[in-house]
Amino acid sequence: MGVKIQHGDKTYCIDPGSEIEKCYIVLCTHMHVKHCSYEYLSSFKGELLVPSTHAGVEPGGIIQLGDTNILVVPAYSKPELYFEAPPHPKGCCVGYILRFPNNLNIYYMGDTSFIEEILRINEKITILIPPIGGGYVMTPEEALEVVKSLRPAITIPVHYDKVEQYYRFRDIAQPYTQVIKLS
Amino acid sequence: MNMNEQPYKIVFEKLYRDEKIVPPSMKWKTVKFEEYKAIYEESVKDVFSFWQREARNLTWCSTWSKVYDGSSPRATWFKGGKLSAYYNVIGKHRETWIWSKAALIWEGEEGVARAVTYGELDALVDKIAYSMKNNGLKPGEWIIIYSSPTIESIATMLAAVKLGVPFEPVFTGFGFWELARRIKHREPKLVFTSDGFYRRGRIIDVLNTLRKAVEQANYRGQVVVYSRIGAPSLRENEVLFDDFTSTNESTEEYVANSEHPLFGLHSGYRDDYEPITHSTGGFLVQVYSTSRWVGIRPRDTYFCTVWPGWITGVSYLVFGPLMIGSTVLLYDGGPDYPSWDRWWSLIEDYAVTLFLTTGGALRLLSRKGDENVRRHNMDTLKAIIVTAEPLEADIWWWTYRVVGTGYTSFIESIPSQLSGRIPVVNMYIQSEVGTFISGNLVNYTFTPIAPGSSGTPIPGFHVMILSEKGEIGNEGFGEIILLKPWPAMPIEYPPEYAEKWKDNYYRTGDYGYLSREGYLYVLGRTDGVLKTSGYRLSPGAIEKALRQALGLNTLVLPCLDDLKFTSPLLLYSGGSGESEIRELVRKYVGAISEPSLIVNLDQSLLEEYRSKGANLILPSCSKEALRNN
Repeated sequence: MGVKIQHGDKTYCIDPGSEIEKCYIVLCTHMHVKHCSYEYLSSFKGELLVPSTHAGVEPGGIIQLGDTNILVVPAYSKPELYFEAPPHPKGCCVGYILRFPNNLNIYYMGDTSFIEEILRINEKITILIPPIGGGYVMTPEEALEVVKSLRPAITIPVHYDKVEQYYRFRDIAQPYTQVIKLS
Repeated sequence: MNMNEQPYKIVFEKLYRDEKIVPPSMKWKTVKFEEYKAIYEESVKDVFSFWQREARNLTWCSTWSKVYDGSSPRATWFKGGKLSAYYNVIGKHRETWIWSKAALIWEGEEGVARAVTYGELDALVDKIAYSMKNNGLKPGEWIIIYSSPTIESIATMLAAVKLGVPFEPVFTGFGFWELARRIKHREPKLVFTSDGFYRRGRIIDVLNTLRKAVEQANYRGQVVVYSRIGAPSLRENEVLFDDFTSTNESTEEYVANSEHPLFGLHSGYRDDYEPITHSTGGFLVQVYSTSRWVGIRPRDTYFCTVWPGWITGVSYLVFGPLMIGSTVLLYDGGPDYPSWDRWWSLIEDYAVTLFLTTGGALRLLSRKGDENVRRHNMDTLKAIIVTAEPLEADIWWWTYRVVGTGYTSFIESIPSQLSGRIPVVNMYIQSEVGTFISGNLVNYTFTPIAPGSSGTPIPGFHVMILSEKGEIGNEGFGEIILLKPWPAMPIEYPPEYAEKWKDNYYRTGDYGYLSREGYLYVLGRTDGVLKTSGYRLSPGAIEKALRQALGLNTLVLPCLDDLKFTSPLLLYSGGSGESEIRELVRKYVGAISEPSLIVNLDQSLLEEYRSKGANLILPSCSKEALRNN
């Protein structure tokens, strides 16, 4: 579900599941087992960021780590999209914008709907990592709206089960960003 | 009778089909033939006014006083005009949305990928340009780039452009001896190279080839080594790219006269490779216009498999797409590693919208099975541009159906029937002309496609046929000529080029057929020059290398090859063995020039073939074809 970002000699792991080896810091968007699990993280000795658990890991928070700072942004399911309880209620989850030196900003959105708060993000995003699988997260069409709003240089879609969802997103988002598929 | 009548006939039969295709995606954009004719004829009636209008699409520091001055071949376009080439390629995108979009994406064969935005590319160019200037490079002095395509090699070319320093990119398929000759000709103040690259999982040692060339050429200038595969230990005069560019300083853009040299290549002639140089103003005008016309747009992700080192790579991988502001995908590897679907996989993963490749590559890929293509979804593709050599109608159809249909129904395209969806356009280009001359233009005068043809002549290029009787016409068989000059005319050239100018028109050295409707079919060279897998190779350069290395008397003739179009057939007399000759050709001239057939003959028989004329093309690469000719 997650990604590993290598910057310099440090590896930033976002929602790494069980793959926490060589992580300099683990950033959890929420505690669902495929994303982050205490079972695996209990032995982790590095820096750990978990919403509602660690200081500053809430929307609007800024965490400074050396020359990199991490802006915590909202992520949740819009209740009106679901008949039953939303899968990611407001407050359970976050997204992260990793602001590296040299104006490299990477926005990992986490499990979220296309929420209004995203439109208020006033950061120049270099790389956007949106979920596109629909269901519990944004559909390709909703993720496209995020792309059109933020105009990232590069977009790497994640959180989809079927490759057709990647094709759908790629084909509609291509004019607005450089889509890259992680293999 | 034309001595090459038989091979031209064989090629023509593979190219010509009496059919015209309108791809579904172009259904509402195809123009009537009469509309094309009107635009084209208006353009060639007065090419000077036509190109003058196009020149206004660039930003000039001072406008030209005369659009064309002198007489061909020695002429100046846009005389008195001054411009910053760098501003017109990169600088103009500053403060536009393009500045923060991806400019170059690079993927190595080993799967590592990198990307830079236009802003980041500009910053890198600045560092290189500052270091070059700091090391004493002055406008007009040359640099050479001998590297596979990397972000750093492209940025070095752009740094040279920024300083008014002309550059020559040398294809890494050339061996040390050919590289040494280019170093001698250009007398560069700096050579950029990489330590190597991967091909089919193995390391190609670029630095070692360069070092041999440096020794051969007795070159004493600076060598900047980009560490692509490891940490090379350096010799005297060598510096690592990262050390060379360690300062974050800025340099001013050089404002050049229109006729200032921009870049050069060595073009293949019968007896040798010869240097030609393109100007700043005329070349940029021509490449910017033709790039827009072929359909490159700012929102495109564009994958060109032709490397700089060949004119298509310089014009349509470096200058054209960056002037427009599109994203260029650089792939530093072969199409067959780890399997034959690598290019298709890149198109799928990077959402490529425009794909440019050669007829030779498509010929090869079409033999590797449809499944390699069809297991990839390439629905983002809007057009496939083919270049460098004739494209047989069968290969056109394979590309149109198998690569160009995709999976999404579109207007009248039916994916399950592989009915075709997007245009596959074959373009005709030549180093001396600088850009495409003929071909269907997706973003301008798009007429129905005639499979096998190189489309219709592009507005601004007065393409005609010179018959064997010496008559000039706009229909029939003969040598392809350009009746009027063009803005990217070389400003430095060898006598062989000057000799191709006669009675104020230019003979391209290509034989072709212009149909009544105006579709051009290119059938092969008239002057013995090789077109091998899209590469224009000099037979004489192979002969020279073998004379130098082995004292061997040889004759190299082009022969028709099903896969490579024409291939070198080498005749020799003397005691050397075939494997020794092959090895020497690979090492000295490069693997791309390796003969398909080597035949040992008596001296007298060899001279008999030589006396028949070095322009002979054999209809097949076989001893039988040799006996019958």
